[in-house]
Amino acid sequence: MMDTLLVVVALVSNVATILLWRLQRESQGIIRTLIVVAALLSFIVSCVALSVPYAWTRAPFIALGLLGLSGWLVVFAYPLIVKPTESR
Amino acid sequence: MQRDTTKKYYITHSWLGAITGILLFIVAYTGAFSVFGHNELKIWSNEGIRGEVSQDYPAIESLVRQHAKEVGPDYHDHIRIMLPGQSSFTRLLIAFEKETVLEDGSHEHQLIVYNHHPKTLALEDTFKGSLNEWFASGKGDMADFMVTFHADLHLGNPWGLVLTGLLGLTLFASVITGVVIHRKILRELFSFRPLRSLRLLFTDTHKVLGVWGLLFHGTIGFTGAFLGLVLVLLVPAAAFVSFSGDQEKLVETFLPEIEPAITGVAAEPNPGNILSEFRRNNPDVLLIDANIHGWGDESAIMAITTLGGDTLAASETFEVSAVTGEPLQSYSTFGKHDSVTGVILDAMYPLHFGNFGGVFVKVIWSLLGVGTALLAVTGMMIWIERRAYGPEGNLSKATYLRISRFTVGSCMGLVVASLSLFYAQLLLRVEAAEFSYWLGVVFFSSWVVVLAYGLAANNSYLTIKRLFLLCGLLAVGVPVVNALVTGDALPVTLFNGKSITAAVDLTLLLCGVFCVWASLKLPGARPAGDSLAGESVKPNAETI
Repeated sequence: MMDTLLVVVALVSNVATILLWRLQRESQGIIRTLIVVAALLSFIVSCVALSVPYAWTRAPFIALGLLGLSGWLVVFAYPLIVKPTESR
Repeated sequence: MQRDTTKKYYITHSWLGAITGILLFIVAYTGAFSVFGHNELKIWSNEGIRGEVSQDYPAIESLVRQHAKEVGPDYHDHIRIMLPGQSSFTRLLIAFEKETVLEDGSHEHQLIVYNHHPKTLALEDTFKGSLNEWFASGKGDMADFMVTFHADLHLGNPWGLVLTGLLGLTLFASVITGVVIHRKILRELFSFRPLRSLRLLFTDTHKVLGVWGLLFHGTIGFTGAFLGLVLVLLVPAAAFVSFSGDQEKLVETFLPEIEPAITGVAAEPNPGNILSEFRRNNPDVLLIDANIHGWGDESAIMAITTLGGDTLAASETFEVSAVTGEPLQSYSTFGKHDSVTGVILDAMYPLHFGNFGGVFVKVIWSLLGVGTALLAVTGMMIWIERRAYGPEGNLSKATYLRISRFTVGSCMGLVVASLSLFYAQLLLRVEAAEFSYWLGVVFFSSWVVVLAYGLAANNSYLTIKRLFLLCGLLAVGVPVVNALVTGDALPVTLFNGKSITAAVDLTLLLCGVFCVWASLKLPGARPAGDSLAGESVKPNAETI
């Protein structure tokens, strides 16, 4: 149960990383820096969460795989959900 | 970077993809399938190991003792206990091995193998012969068929392995050239404009699939090239450089055999108790097999092979005293060779097949693998679009459209062929030795039929729409036929411990529904005025 919860946390953190990275592109100055730091921290949270059920030797590989999937999910789903015409 | 240099990279990227695109799709798609080859599809394919299999280790020990008496001491050097339902064994196999030296100085391994039912442990049949004959005698199934097809396209060693190895290199090269030519890689991380034009849809999809899956595609390409070429080129080359061409010596160095220091003092081994104790202490790992060396001697060693420990390596071996159960050492496949090389070699297989973290990691790897397959297809479609409807290329539009139809037929044909394997697995009633052959007949026949249909039909859009519908219906039909043939109906399997069978059926059902939905949504003809709308098509580095 705990392991499943941690995997869900990792999934959410990965999607959050992508969304934050997207957000920083529309920001400037210190806000942008803070968002970038938040995105990196979010990815680290994902790695830490995965390291509990999968050990540190495996967690970074799984987290990077999840990051790719989350990227696809966010990019492909975003224009369908947020803007019906075009997304950039 | 100079514009001309970028353009050269673009041309390399473009032609590498065009030449190998369909083969890359085939290898990537079957790879996404093969991730579940052992043991999910293996279990689904073999009724005997669906649900709980016997883990009655004391009963297994008594069978080993009984057979050990029957075969005599000549076959006691190496005894293998291969446990069913954990990886590739569909029955409990107890094998007794004798090594003999032939007249020419080479070694031959003779085996006596007792095959037991995976649940009742009743003896079903016995095999006696050489190790090679035993490997050749096994009944194949759809899981083995797909894994082998992914590994060597059923072309065997060396040609099949060389081809898939080279395809891995091609993918790796395409990733590198793709990054070099895609200068706005970070700026276009989120560019996806599905509604502007068909070409933009292909281009954006290709970029997004490529960029976000960059590490995965690169890893898969590199490890695939290594796994394909290791046996054919790398081992002979390494043996030539470091072992005067002696490949056997090289293998012994990297994979040393277990050799107990025989004392001559008799002692009773306790494999049953040791396995039970090991299972209690390691409830989360899969026990694949146990190998006993030096049976009957007080120094006998038992090596237990497991999947799913804390290392990145796919499997880990635990050596214990076969008499007392005292732990001696544990190591991964190449872990005995204590070096960075060993760590890298150990990482190759799990990083390629994603079998280092249970079903969750397999799902991630499989989805990413589908992404690699789609990357190849979208690359092909961009290549064709730019030539059939754009200013590139020297051939006629009709020729490019023929290539387009061939691409559609071969790619969709593979999907239909892979689904037809499920039906063949359930419905074929042939001799065990001929099973793989008939699986091949069904697989390749259905592929050729779809390819011929794709080539014959003029409207590729309608072809794709219809084939998506066919794939959807085929996928939805598998759980139904499974329920009729084996009695494992989906709602029942969910509650009677056959969770893997249920998961495979459910996945097929969901994929089938998705394909039917996609079929309804896909256009039946090329959208009017879609040729070059919405994008400048000048084939230089700025528009890549």
